[in-house]
Amino acid sequence: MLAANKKKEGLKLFRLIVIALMFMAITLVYVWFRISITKIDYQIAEEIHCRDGLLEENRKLKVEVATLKSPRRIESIARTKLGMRYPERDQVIFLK
Amino acid sequence: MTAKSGKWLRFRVVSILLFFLVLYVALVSRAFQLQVVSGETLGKLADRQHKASLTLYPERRFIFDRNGQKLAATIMADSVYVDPSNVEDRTKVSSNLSSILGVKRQKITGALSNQGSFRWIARQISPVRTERIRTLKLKGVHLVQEPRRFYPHRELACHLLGFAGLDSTGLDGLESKYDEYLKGVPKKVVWGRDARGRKIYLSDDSGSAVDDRSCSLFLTIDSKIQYIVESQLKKAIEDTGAKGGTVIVMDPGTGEVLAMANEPLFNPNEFSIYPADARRNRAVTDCFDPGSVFKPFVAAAALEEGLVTETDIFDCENGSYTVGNRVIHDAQNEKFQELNLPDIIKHSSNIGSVKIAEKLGKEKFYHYITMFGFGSKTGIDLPGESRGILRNSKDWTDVDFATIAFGQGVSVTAIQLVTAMSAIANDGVLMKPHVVRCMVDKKGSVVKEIEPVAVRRVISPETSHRITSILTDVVEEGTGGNARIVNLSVAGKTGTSQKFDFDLGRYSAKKVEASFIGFFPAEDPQMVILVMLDEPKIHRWGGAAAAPVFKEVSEQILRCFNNSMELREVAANENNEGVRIIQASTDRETIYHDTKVDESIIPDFEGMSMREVLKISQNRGIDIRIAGSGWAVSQNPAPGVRIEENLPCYVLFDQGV
Repeated sequence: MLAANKKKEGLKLFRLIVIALMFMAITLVYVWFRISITKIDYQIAEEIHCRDGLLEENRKLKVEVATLKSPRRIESIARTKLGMRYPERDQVIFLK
Repeated sequence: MTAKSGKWLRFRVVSILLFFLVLYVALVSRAFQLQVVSGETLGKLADRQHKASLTLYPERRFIFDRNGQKLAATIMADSVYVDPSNVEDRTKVSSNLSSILGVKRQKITGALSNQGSFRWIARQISPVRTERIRTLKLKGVHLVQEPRRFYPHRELACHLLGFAGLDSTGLDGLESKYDEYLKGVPKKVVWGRDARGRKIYLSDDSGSAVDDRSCSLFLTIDSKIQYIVESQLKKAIEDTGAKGGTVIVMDPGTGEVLAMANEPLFNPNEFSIYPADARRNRAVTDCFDPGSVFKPFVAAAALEEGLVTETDIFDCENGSYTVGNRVIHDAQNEKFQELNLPDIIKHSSNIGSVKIAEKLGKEKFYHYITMFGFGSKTGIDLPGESRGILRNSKDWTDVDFATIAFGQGVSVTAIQLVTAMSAIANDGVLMKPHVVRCMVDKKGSVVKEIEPVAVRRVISPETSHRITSILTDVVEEGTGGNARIVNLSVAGKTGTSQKFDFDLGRYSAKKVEASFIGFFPAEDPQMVILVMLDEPKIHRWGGAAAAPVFKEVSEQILRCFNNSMELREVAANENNEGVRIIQASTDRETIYHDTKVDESIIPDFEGMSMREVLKISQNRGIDIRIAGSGWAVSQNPAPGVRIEENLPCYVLFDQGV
């Protein structure tokens, strides 16, 4: 009878330990998830910063292209560096 | 286990349970107090610690020319501010910032000695300066990004575009006129931060969502034409020693302004260093006496009313005509006896013009010049437009009436003049001038399109053609000879007007405005160009100072654009029907002088240079496709095949080494 009671109590304790371990495991998984999410949030923040930087660089490059396409600049290079001049009207041929 | 020890164990278990129960209740109570009772206040405090936000200045949209060339854009630039309470070594900070930014040291020292945590030092600095400041790592010195308006073509179309200030507000030109469309909506950016201030992404950033309905502008301006106009105007100013000048190019059929330039120019990227005088868009704000360029409108009114015809003879009084207490003379002391209407315009006779106006009468004359738009704003979408000065005909004396007939005593703006001449070029219909073609949202969809607006019919198409014919003679045989363009019919009128000297209280004998206004091709006008030079010193007459500028601008436009303008045959070929001359410019090119050539067939291109092939193809209307370089070695179809519209001719070129 005593042995049976002891066994019963041992089983109870075992169940308690298993439940406690499961609870701990769930808590750890939850904490692990939270840490991972926070890490990803840091990464996303960094990537967003990087994206904004690249977008800004892209915008600056587009403006630089527009600056380089300036007719005043092109004419200056054509005249001074390449020795070009405006063609006469009969030298201009329009293709279809 | 004894009963005593069992009791002791139970007591201990219960005590521990009670301890944890009390602890649990205490925890729950505290949690309740934190989450529910003080939840709102503490939540706000936590947000202040964990979240950071920044309201960004609205990002101004782009301004493009009609071909999509960027004329105005927004880039991010760093601005420098200091937190005086955090600065440790004020002397070091002020000397470093002063040398990098070029700001006076006293100004920085003054900012550093202020109370508070924020003082601007320099706004929108260059990337090089930003980098130098960043490397110094000065405590209490911070950088923040702000949008900066940037004009990549610098001076190009500066008076049209205007400029925007440091706070992204349009201050002049289109930037000011269309500010509400361009400026956009301020955007709030929210991000999380940890205890060390590092950024964390917040999935709930609802604060950043804004309803941005800002638009980019597409203008009617063509940057190539604008550049041609600006460079030619600058050259003319240098050549004639003029104080300033204006050129406007307009499409008469739509009222679209293709180019608008004033001298002096300014760089809108550094607008603050220029005087206000240089930033003024004189083409719409300044008035001047038009002089003889006003005469075509007098003639048009008289022709429209049927009061005169081209064959009517007017007595030009041998160059001296008394009206009231004034004696009117013809320009350059010309003494004309009798002239018909076309000759009055061709020789620009003041007396003849007065005689035409007298036939019209004050009321009808006034009616027509107001119908042409003088004395009222054109309604162009640019700020600061002036209506000019045109008194009511009831207030005119006889002398006023006479002088207005040849363009003195009336003040007009350049845009009024070019719009009125466009009405003559557009079969008599006055169009509303405009510089914005359409507005486009962020996604590229057209939000608003500005359609051409016909204001009113001023004269009949027949009168318009009769005046055009007279104006063509002005260029061919009259005062506008310097505007003549080979192979193109140009209609135009010269003008030279004395400027009113406010010190003397009368018209100056020395200061003049020289102008030329014309359009081409006369048969189907596509461009109206006004050239106005203010106080030219070397050539003082419109025909000598302004007409050559018109010619240069027109020829360069013709070189750059295939406008399918009707070219007349060369006059020299009139006696040799069937002869076409193609001028040679290199040794390899041949001069064709063949009267027997059948131009309806594809010729034998073999051995010809690419230039020769292209010229012949253009003349015969062959749809040519070329490949390779050097000289033509083969072609398809073969020579002799009849030219057809949808039959391309492929020609292969080779170096023939």
